[in-house]
Amino acid sequence: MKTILRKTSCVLLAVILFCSVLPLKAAASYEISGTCQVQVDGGTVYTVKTLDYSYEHNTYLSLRDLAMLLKGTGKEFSLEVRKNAVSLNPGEGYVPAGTENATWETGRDPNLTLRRNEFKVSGQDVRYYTLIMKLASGDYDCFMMAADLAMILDMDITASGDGLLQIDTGSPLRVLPAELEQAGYFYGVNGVLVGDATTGEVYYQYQSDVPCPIASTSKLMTCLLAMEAIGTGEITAEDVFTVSGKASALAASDDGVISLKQGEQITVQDLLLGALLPSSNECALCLAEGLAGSEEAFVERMNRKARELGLSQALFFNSNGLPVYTEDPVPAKCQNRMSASDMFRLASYLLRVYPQVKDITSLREAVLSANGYTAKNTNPLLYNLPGVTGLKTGTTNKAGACLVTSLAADDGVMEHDLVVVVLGTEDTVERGRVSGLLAKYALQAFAEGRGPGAESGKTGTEGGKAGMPARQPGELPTHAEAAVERILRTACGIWKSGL
Amino acid sequence: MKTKKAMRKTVSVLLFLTLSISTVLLAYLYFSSPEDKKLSGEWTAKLDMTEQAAAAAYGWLQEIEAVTVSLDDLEACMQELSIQADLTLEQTTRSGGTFHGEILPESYDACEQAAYEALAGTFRKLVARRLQLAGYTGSTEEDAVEALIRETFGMSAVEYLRACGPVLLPSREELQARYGGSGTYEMAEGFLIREYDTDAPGPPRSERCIRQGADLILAGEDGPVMRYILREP
Repeated sequence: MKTILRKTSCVLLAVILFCSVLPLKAAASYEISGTCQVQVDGGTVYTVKTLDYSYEHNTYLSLRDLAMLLKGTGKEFSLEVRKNAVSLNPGEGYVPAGTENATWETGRDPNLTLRRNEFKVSGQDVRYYTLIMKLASGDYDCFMMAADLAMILDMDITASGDGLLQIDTGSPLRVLPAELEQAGYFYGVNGVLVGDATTGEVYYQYQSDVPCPIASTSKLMTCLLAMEAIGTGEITAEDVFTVSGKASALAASDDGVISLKQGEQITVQDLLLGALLPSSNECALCLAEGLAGSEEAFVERMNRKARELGLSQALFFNSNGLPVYTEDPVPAKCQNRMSASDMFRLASYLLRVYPQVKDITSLREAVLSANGYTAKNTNPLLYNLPGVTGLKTGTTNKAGACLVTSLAADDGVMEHDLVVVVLGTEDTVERGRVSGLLAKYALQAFAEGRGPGAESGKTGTEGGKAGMPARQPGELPTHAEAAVERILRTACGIWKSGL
Repeated sequence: MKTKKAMRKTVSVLLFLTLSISTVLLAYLYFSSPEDKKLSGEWTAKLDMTEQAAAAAYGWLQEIEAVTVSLDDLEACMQELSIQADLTLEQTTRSGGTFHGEILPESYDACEQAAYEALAGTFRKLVARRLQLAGYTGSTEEDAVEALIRETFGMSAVEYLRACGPVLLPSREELQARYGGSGTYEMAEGFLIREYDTDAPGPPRSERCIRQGADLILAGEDGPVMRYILREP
């Protein structure tokens, strides 16, 4: 009896263990295969294979099917898909694989994972999330979101109410944030603001006055204070700071990015590269301790600067954006926070007063002189859009995925810095997509000369510098700050041209 | 008896003489007062524009981020900004006459030029500081900054500030309306009361000046105190 009971218990235990393990392995992802109807330039309607990734309507479209549809149009492209890599060349003819615009084959590959596969457009690296699937023929197909393809090819894609996707190869992609907002596109986002940092003009804002955690985008304030110290002569970029035990411990923890040893000496320039490109928390801490003696003293400086700049919703607890716990018996978990409007003001000030920050934030990678570490920029838009000059990503569980983007735009008189603030998207996939679309919108609004309030969200106030006039190319600036910026641009232009 | 009569005659004559002399003296003083005589002539005053110009410049320069200038610093570099105002008084009656006031155009122009030059100097310093903060390694000396300003705007700093910067002084017309003009004056109870000629309907504009020693003081509600000094002939 005892033996039977023991064996039965073992079997039951094994089943329980097996069942507890199996869901973990099986729940990596799931895709719902389907099709949708796509019409190009009002012509024939074709069937395009789709995959809904994890959720219904989270739809990724077959690039081979779309390449076939666009063959012979002004937006045709060649496509080469391998196991982990995609190469897309706009303007080149597509060579069919024989599976295009047909129904799904049986026996599809179950190991599909949405990832940032290697992806080149015209030989240049881009950063998009795709699904690569092996076909029965041995070829591969790549699935991508329609919005991402529209960004790459700059073509207009609209969805009619009856599930038909319409592609207009003669029209560029137009982003209308107000319509996206009405459709609930920003529902899961904490706050958004798009504007011109040079003039203070705001093109679009959504919940821009609501304070929310900002994660590593906090490092923009850390960087600002470091540049201020360089500007006042307190330090130079070549000065060396010594890595403390606290910074070394942080480097060795799960939140560490760059291996720094206690006592190691590292230049301010290296620390800025480390903090801004791969978002090294230990580099930010080193900067803080080197500038102020301790992180606590540095945080006081951060909050003081925030008040000076009028960042009404900003509150900092540390130099790097990681969560911190209070010292209470029941500790509270705190994170640096501010609103999208505050972040726009901070980014605008940084770009206006210390434009040299873009020399760092526009780098895709840099090698630290201290230890030969190759710091890689976490900002995906540097690869996806021309003219992107920065600025900073940020991700924590509570903050979600944040991105502050700067991009250059020229009105024929001088270069402007456009800024896109996106706080609190659900993940890096959504962050890249939302930021990319809004960056596209920023360029569109700039080109059309839109004034403030043209596309306004539910809440929010002027995020930029109050009273700055709308862009008027050819006219002399009447505001002192605008005049100074114009002169700085002239100086930088002369300086960089080597005159 | 005879002595009493002689004495009475002498006293009467003395009294008569005293009364006559007094009357003549009083008549003389009444008809030709030395103070009235001193009013006639060319008076001149200096209108101090330092505070006003510095305040206007400060309001405009404050917008420049990351670099600051104080109002005291601006007033220090805008010292002795003044505009000459002339007042001509001509006595035509026992206690009054006519007047004509004018803001001297050349004085106004010189003051305006000096004000904008002072502003330009401060502006160049702030631009130099911003260049340094931006990591600019070129020269930030005054000449170099002026060259950058010319390159940017196609004109000198002074010309740019005149065209697009703050208004540092009231216009010449405003000052002329306030301190210039013609009319008549009367002396009464120690005040010189001026009444301006006007074609406009309604009561004419009038104002009072106070005599303080050898000066005429005009204290208005809308502007600084004007102290007129009589020019020596």
